[in-house]
Amino acid sequence: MDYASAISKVIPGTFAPDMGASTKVDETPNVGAIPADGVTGATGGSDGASFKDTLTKMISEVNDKLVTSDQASRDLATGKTNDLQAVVGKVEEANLAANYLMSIRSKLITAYNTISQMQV
Amino acid sequence: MGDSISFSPTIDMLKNAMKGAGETHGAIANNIANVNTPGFQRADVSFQEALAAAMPSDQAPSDPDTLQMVTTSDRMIGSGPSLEPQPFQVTTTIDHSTQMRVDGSNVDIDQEMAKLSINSSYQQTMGSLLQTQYTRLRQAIEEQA
Amino acid sequence: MGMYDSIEVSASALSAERLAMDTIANNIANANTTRTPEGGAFKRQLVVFAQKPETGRDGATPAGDGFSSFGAMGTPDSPNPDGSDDPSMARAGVQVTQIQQDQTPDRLVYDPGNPDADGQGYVHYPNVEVVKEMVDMMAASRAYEANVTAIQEARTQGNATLGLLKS
Repeated sequence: MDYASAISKVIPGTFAPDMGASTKVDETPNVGAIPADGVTGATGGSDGASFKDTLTKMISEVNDKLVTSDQASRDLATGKTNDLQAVVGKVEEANLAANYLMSIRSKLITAYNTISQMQV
Repeated sequence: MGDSISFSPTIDMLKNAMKGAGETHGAIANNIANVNTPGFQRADVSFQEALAAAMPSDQAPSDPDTLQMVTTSDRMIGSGPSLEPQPFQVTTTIDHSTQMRVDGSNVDIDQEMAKLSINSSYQQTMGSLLQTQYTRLRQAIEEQA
Repeated sequence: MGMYDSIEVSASALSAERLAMDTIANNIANANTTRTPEGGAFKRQLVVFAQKPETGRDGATPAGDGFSSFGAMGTPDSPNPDGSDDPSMARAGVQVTQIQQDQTPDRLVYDPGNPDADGQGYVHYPNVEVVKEMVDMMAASRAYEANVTAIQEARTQGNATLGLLKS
């Protein structure tokens, strides 16, 4: 089969210019082919989890980590626990989670600003 | 109304812990200085129970789905715990229970040095944890990680 | 068993070794003492070490809520608060339970002219061997240094852990 139909079969929705397998150099290339399918929905996927759900879950997990680390710090201060290593581990984990969330927030805001400033 | 705002009970507790550790250091240093003083009775400082007692009792276990509104004065409408730091008292006791040496002093230099070491390490730990808390607040305020 | 507990354990060893060294020094000082208030020659003293059971943390506060009151290290001799024999609780270090008198016989030296001679002309000298005492003192001194090193290591570990938070 020729190049164009081969490409069209492998990647649905694309078009490939007809390069002309034969050596007819005076023929113009045939740039045809409209994508066959419409644009499929990129988000929303087949498992039903939306972006909003993921984000809410992440915020709630970070909050849990922060609460745990605060409780662990208080326990260390009052002497309820003596395990310094575990407390430092929890605190550092909470710090990382909070930093991560802040970075995501910054990226989201930047993305939103970029999109809102697009000319239509 | 106190003279400081309470950002969170954890920060208050850590600050009080450092204050308590400072008092303890003073008592231990005094014990060590008087190791050879005839008739000297060593002193102890205890503050950890007072730390726990100074936690606001209506500090509900945090429910991640709700946010509590906190207030700094009575005129504000709010639904959360009060923002004032709770009072914190350090208790110093004179220790009569351990055995005295011939000169009437009951200071054991090894125990005092060990307590000094423990207290110093505790103070550093509380300082580091407090620094972490303030860094988190600063990140939230400045909106950058 | 956190860092503070391990420092307290080492501190108990420091106190015990110091007491041992004091006893040894006393033995050496009295190596030739033939008269004591109790009568007879000086008897060599030795310390008996025993493992100290851990004083349960919640024994010290009325709330009984598990606070470790390191600011007021309590009396060293209270047993397990619940009277159990749980070996995991017997890790609070070492204590000196008693200072015993060594009952080996006195060293007898024949010296009839000595005012302290007994009926047969023998003078009772203490049963202290100075060379052995010196060796014991070296052992106690090394044990003391080892425990000081243990405390320093515990501090170093704690500082290294705190270093994680500083980044």
